[in-house]
Amino acid sequence: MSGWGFSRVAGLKGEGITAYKGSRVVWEGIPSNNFFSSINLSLSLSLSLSLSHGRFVVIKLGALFFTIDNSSNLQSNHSNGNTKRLDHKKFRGFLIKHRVISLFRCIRRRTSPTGYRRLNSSSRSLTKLFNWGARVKAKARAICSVNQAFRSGYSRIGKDLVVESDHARQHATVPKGKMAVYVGQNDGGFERVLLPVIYINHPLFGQLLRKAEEEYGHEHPGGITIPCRFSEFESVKTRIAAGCGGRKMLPWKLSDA
Amino acid sequence: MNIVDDLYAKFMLSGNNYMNMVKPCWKPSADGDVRKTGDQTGRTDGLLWYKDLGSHVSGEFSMAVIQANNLLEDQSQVESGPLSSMSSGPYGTFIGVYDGHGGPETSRFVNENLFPNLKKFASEDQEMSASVIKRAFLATEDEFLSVVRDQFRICPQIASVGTCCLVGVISNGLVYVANAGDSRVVLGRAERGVRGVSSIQLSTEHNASFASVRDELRSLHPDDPKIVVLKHNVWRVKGLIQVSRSIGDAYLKKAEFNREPLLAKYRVAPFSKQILIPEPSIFIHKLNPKDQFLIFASDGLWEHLTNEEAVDIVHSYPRNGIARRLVKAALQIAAKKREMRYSDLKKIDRGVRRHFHDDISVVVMFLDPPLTNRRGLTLSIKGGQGLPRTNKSS
Repeated sequence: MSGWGFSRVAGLKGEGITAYKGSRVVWEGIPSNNFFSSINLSLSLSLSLSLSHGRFVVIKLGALFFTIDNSSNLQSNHSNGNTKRLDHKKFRGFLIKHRVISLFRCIRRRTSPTGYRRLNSSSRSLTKLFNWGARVKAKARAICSVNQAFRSGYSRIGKDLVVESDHARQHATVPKGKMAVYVGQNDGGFERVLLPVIYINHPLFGQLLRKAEEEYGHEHPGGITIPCRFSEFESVKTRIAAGCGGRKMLPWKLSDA
Repeated sequence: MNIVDDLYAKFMLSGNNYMNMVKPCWKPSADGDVRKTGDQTGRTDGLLWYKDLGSHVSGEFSMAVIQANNLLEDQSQVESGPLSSMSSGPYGTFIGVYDGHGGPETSRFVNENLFPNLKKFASEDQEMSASVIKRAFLATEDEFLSVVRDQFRICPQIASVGTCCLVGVISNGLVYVANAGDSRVVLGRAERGVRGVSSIQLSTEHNASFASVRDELRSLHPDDPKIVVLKHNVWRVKGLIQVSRSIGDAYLKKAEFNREPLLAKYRVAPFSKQILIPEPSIFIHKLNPKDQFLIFASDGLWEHLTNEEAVDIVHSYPRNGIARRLVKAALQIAAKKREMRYSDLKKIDRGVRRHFHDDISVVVMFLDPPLTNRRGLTLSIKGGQGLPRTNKSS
C-alpha cells in the first residue's frame, strides 16, 4: 500500500568545514480515499559549519517541503512500478530548486542590501544563484584577505571586470546563435553580416570558407572575412536556408542532433 | 546580520566546495565526480579531451586537448616513472607536445616513437642528458624519413607532413626542455615580494615571425634570397611554412622528396642543404623550491593567451581541471575575436573550427616538493584518445 524511499544522503568534508547536504526523503503512499496520492518531503539544505578563526559558528538552514498531488496518474505509475516518478520533475507542486533559490535570495537580501542590479541582468534563476555566489566570494576575499588590494572591493585590472564588460559589449552587438562575418572584395568595402552560427557548418558555406582561407589564411585578425561579391554570398545564404527545409534549420532542432 | 555575512564569506573562502555541495540540490542526477576516472585515461566531451587531474612522479598534472582540424593534428603525452629500460637508470617524468601540420601522421608517429627512442639512449648512457634528448629527436626524424621513403610512391602527401616537437623531461631536480618548432613551455614561479606568480618562458620558438629566426635562416642560406617570404602578412620559410625547425616535412629536408609526384604547390627550387632542421634547442633549468608549475602548450593556446595570463589562471584557480580552464579561456578569446559567443563556438564542426582556432594541447605539470614524490609510480597517458580519428563521411 505504501512505501518509503530514501534518496541522496550525502556528506561533504572540506577544509575546516563539515557540511551535510540535507537528505531528501520521499514518502509515497496511496490512501484509500485517493486524496493524498503522494507526499514528497524534502529537507533541502542543512549546513553546520565550524570555523577555526577563534570563533565557533553554527548555521542551520533547513526547509521542509510538501508536495501534495492528488492526481490519479501517479497512482497508475505506482502500480506500474515506474521508478522514474521519484524524479521530482514529474511531481506537481514546487520544484526544490526554486525553493532553494528563493531561500538564498532571502539571505542575500538580508545580508547585502547594497549592490547594483545590472540593467541587462539575466532573468534565469540559475544565473542569479551563480552571480550571488560570485558576489559573496568577492566579499569574502575582501573581508578575509590580508591583502589590502582586495579590501577595496575591486578586482584586479585586466581580470574579471574587463571580461565582464567585454562580454556585455559583445552581448549588445552579436545576439546568441549569430556570428558576424564580413563579406566583400578588396576593391569595394566589406559589409558586416550577422549570420546564424550553424550555417557555417554547411558544405555550401565551406566553399566560401575555402576561398577565405586561400585569400587570408587561418590567422587573420578580426571576424571571418569572405572574399566574394555580396550577391553571391546572399544566394548561398538563401540556398542554405531553403535547402535545409526551413523548419529543420531552426537552431534548437540542430543543436539536439 | 554581519555574522551571517562574515560566515558566508569564510565559507566561500575555504574552497570551491560550495558549488559541489549545492549543485546536487537542483540537479539530482549530476555527473559523477571527475576524479573517479582511472589514472591513465581521460574523458571526451565533443571535440574536447581532458584529464582533469592525475599524478606523476614529482607532483600532479592536468591535461586538455581541443580539436579544430578535421583530423586532430596535435598529439601529447605524459610518461612518468623510469626513463630508461633499466631500473637503475634515470627516473622522472617525460612530457611531449607535438603540434602537427599538413596532417596527423608525423605527430602520431612521434607520439609513438620519440619516448621509446629516448629510453633507448638513456639506457645506453645510464643517465639523462641534453645529448640523449637530441639523439632521440634525430633518431625519430630518421625513422620517419625512412617511412616517407617507403610510402612516397604510393602516397606523396606524406612528404609534406611534419610536426613541431616540444619535450620536457623532469628528472633529478632538473627540467630539460627541448623544442623544435613553435610550441612553448612556461614556468610559473612564486617570487618573494611579488604578488601572484611570475612567468618564465623556458623554450625558444622557431617561428619565422621572429626577426632572430629569419636572420638565422638568412645566414644559413646566404645564396637564397627567398628563404623567408612575407605572405598573408605572415613570414613563411620558402613562403610555405611558418616554423624553421620540425620533425618530418621531408620535402624541405631532402631534395629527393621535392619532386614528382609531390603536389606542385609544395615544390621549391632544388636545394643542397636542408631548409628545415630537426635539431631541437635544448635548455636545462635547475628546479627551485619556488617553481610552482610548468605549462606546456601548442601554439594554438599561445596565439590567444600571453604567458602572464596563462600563469595567472593556473595560479588563481584550483588544480583540478586547470588545463581545461586554460583551453576554455583561449576559446573564449578566440570566439570574441571572431565576433561570436563562446557557447556558439561549440556548435561549429571540426574542420570548419580551424577558421576560429587551431588544435590546442595543454599540459600543466605541478612541481610539488620532493616529500610528495611517488617513486614506484608508472604513468603513461596520451592526450586526445577518444577524439574522432577518421575523416568525416560527408
